[in-house]
Amino acid sequence: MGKVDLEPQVKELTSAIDELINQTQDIYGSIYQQLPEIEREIELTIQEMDILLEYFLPSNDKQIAESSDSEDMYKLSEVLSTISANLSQNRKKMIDEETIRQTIDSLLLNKEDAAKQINIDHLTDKLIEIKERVTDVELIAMNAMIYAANLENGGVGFGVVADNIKKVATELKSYYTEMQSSANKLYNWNLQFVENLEKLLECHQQLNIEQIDQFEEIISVIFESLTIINELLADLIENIKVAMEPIQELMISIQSQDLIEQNLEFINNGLNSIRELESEFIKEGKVDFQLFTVQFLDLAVDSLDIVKEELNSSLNELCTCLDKIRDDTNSLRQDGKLITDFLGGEQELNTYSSVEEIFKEINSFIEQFSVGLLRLEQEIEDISDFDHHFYKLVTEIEEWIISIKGRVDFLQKLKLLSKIELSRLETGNKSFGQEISQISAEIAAEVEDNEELVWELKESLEVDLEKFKDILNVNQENIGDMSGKISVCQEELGMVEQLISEAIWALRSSAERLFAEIDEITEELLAAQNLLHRLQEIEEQLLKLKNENEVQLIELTGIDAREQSLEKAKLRELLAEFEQKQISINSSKNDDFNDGEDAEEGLVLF
Amino acid sequence: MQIKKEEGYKATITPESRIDITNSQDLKEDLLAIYEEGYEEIIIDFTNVDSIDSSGLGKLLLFHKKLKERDGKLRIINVSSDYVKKMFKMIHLNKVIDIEGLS
Repeated sequence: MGKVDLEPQVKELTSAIDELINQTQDIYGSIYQQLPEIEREIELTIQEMDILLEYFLPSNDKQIAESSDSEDMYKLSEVLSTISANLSQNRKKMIDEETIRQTIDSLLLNKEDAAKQINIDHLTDKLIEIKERVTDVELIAMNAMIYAANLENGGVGFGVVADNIKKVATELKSYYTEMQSSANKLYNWNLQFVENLEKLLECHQQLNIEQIDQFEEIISVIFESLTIINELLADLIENIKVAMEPIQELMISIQSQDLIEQNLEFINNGLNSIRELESEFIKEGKVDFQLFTVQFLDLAVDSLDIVKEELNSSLNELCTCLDKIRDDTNSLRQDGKLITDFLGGEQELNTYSSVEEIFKEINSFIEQFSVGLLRLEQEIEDISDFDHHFYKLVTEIEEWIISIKGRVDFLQKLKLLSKIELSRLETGNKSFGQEISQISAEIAAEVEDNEELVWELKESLEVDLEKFKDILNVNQENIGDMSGKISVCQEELGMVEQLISEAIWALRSSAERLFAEIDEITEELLAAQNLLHRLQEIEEQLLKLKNENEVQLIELTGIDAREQSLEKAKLRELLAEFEQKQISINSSKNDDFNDGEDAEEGLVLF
Repeated sequence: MQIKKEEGYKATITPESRIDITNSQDLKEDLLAIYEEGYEEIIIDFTNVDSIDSSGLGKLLLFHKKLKERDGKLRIINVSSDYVKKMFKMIHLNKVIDIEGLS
């Protein structure tokens, strides 16, 4: 066999080992860096979950009071509670039902109360009495006409008086009819007004009692639904957390990297020494150097075996651990995606969402409530000019009373004229004059009473209606406030719904990031399988080099390397150092492992 | 877990007690086996189920999706537990999966 060309082979080997060291550092370093990232990702996912829990669950007032930063927290439960409280408070003052009831009562006094308080029914009664007097005047006018006709030529003067009485009777009847018509309108206004007030109360009752009760029930269902969603998500996260627990084992397995690196560096140091010493011993001590080379290469092969064993075992452990995590999380990945898609909808596809369904009922309720408020506003608007009609009709009645009074005054004058005319006649009917006098006095008294009654009615209702008008204005303002609050409530609920969906999506992204980190580590490990092939190649090169040197040594000395010993002190000492170093490196293996086992117990990732 | 396969297109599976992370994988495998046999309608009988967690819900949604993709159907019947019934109702699962007694 020819001379072994040591230099290029050693150079190639050291370069290959350097490369192997770098690759090992890259792969293990990358895994080492990713593990804390996974740990942080798990931590963040759990924190997100906690925030979500805090966000969903009904608040505990005591805890809020004790928490310093509670004011800055935006909680769904608080938003819903505030909305509920706002509606409850406002509903109480939306309509002053008591005042409306009082107004209705004062307008619809029954006969027993009528004696105590003036009302529109009194006016009707009084008009019947006036009508009787007007009929009496008509009868007198007719009698006067007949009497004048019977007097023939002698009764011309009385005939003129009789004509005037007839004219007054006709006018009185006409004025009375007009007044009656206005009084009927006033009566109908009264009925209509009461009916409107009843409708207003009914509308308010519906909003106030039925719908608000419904609202409270809906809010309660929302809380229950969100609590269940909360439990499902918490459960999902807990399952992910449990599935990720074997990550701790990865931390122990990657500690093998130190031993692998130290052994590889040891081999390289030795090979470099061989390169450096070759020229020194090329002429003198060549056999000794050859023996040193063979003996070191023996050590190097042993170290490389340790590296192979460590790398194999470490990669096996990492793969087994990751396979378990992947097996356990594969199902969770699928569950997580399906559940979050179902709960929050698929973000990009805008598909069915349980959260949207949960809020659908309350959104629909608010829309209906807004419609109810509009109706209530319209009912109030419809009766807002109630006083205008009242005053218009009362003024009309007052005007007709003045007209009737004017005619009654004229009738009084006719009474005198009839007396004069009748006194001129020898056969004059004295009782006829007295009859006119009596009827005109009676009608004057009735009309006087009626005028007083209208005045009293006006004064009495004026107070009630003014008070009612003030209340109505306040109610209108309250309903306006309520509409404003409902509008804000609608916005807030929309925001809350959006935030919940976003929180669920964020949770899904967070879990997906976690799974992606595991995928990355798995890919790194696949790449690490190449290290084993490379290691095999290096071992073959080392063995080849060793064999060549052994053969050459036998050729030079005729003795097997194992039966020889180093003569040169420097080489002897150096080999001893290498042997010691190798023992030192690999004895630390057990220490490290023991440390690792100890550390395992104390290693807390979660 | 009882499995009853009817002639034609329908199969019924009756899980026991609680469906959670510890046994939902078994349910998944049973459902998958029935699904792969080509049944168009898979019925899950909840007579004996008294609770279900997220992993159980995940399996229901998974097979609802898989069956729907081939124009099949997943049905849940005999939900006897008030808790399970309330849970399904509160999250409106009945709007996605046909659940007997919850419309």
